Amino acid sequence: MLSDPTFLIEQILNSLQFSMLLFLLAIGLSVVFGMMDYLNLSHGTIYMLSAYLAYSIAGISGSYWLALLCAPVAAALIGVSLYYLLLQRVTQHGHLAQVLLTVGVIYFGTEMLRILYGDLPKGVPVPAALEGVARVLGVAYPKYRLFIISVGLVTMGVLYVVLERTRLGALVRAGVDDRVTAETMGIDIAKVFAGVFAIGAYLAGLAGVIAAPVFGVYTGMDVSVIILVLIVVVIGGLGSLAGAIVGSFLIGFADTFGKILLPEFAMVMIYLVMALALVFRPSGLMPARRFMAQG
Amino acid sequence: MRIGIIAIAFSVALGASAAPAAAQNKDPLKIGVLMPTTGVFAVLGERQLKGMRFAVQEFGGSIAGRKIELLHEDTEGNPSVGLQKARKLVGSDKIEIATGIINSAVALAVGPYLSGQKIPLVLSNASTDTLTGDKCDRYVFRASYSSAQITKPIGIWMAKNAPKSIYLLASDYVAPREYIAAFKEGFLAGGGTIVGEAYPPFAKTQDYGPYLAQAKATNPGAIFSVFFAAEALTFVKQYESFGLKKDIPLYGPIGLTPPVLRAAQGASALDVVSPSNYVAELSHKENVDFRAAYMKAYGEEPEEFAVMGYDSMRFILEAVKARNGETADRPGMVSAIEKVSYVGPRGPMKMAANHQATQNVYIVKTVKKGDSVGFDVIDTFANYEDPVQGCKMQ
Repeated sequence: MLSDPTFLIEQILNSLQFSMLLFLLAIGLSVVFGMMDYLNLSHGTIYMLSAYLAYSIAGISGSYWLALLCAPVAAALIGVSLYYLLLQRVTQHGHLAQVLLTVGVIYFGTEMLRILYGDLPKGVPVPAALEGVARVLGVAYPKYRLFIISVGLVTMGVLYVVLERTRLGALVRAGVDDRVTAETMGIDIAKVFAGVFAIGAYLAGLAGVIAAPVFGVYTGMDVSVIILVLIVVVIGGLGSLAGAIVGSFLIGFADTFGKILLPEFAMVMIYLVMALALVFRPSGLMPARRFMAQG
Repeated sequence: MRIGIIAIAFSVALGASAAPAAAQNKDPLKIGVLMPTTGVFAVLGERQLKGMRFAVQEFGGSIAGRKIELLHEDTEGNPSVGLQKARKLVGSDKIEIATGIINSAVALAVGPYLSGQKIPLVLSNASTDTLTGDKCDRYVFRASYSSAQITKPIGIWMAKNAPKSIYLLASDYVAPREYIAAFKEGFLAGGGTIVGEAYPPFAKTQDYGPYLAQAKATNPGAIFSVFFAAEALTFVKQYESFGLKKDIPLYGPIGLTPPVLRAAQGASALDVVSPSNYVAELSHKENVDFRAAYMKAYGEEPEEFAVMGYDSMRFILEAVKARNGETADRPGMVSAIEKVSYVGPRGPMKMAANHQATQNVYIVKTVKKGDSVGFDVIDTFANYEDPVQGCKMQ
């Protein structure tokens, strides 16, 4: 079956599409973890919340594009408020406290959305301009999925330029590398971190909006994806853009091809990739430097 | 010694509660309703409760001078909670008949207990075949459907009226697997072939794209699928987005495109052919009247789940009515429920020997109705008896 080129191309596109979604979610989680050593499981709640916001905005205004513009910004604002009002209280108390608190936020967010929107899953229509299929290398593929791939690639490009080529990026990298030294050098890490957290939440929100028309909007959509995102972060290595990219591609492809080649073991495939990565590179494939030294 | 006294006091109390039937006659008729109103099945539970209350209202709230009392307990969809609530209903509320239960796990836990207490139970949703198959029980009835009763007929129908080569795609847990097994039985016996099958992990699959591409690569004439709720929403929308439907039509139980997902699925729900025991569009007089009255009572359309709740309650109330309100003779109640027969919103209803309701199974297709989507009935398996085997009553 893999010898059929159209089949192969279609599955590669499916893998890319899923990888991009994982990437948008993983990068925020990874940098926050890398910089502040904070394991924020409620990152997925921001993703879900943004999908619901997109449903409301698109429903009321009739415009998907308005939802794409507004919902991630709202998600970023909510994410940052959540951090400063609640999450940061346990920054010093280690991972266990962080996990407990953020899992609590997941439950709270899920129940709130159920009260507000009810139990029925919601749909967001694909915008008219992206309806139907386009031909890619002779394969008919949904335009909207190509749009997801493009959004992911553009985001990767922008993040690369910002992180590697600007002063702001240097500050972030310094913070991830060695927070204490960076602070003694006069960098206001708290401020840098606030920006990083906001961008992470924005990207999770963006993922929620672009996922909504394909994957639907329902309570529990956060939990079903956050496990995979955590695996991406672990495989890629904490705090690094390259790690998040490589991890997303590995899991996106392992998931898609696992489903086709070994349907009964699709989930095993992902954990196998993670196990192998951890055996040979315990601190992830491309971690930010601080962790590499520890590994 | 003290224990002895307590035991005597206890048995006196028990004796008092089992008063002669004649004296009970004007007591309220207590019906236990085991229905999840919290947890994942809450949406279905609420709908079924509405249907049940509607049936009580239709009987004027009393039978032979006995006021009908529904005692609802929340099972949370959990077998151990369900059993505990059933014990409470029997032990302290003194119910005489029970109904409800959304998920099969709860039915399998509660059924044997109620049967042991000689409390007839009329199931309103739990569909696993074994409940009216090898685990059938004299005291357990089902007014909803067995899995096989719904998907075996569509298998038979598709072998005659649809493409002969089918790819199967279903969520990987017990109920869809059971649906698929019965579908295969009907379809293969009718001469159809299955070119491939895949079972995406339940609640862990976001993207059906890889499965759809794989299905397409086997060149099937059609795809038969079983997904529910959020998975049905995602699956049907993705199916549409790949532009598959014009070459490879989609078939599957009505859970793929139920009325409750209509707003969310939009036009992607069009042209799906499903088996179902009820759609609001049925045109016989009993359904038209039922719809109008239900609309008047609740301001909303009834759908499958409300109707199955209604029918479960109606089986009970018709039986009590036939016995003129006399419910203390439990084997008598069981045979009264066995004899119930009426034409309701779903069409003609009666109980088969294995205590599964015999009913019409409709083959329906989603079509454009105004600016929304509705069902057209394209074929009917009239008075379709449960095909499940292996029931040895008592």
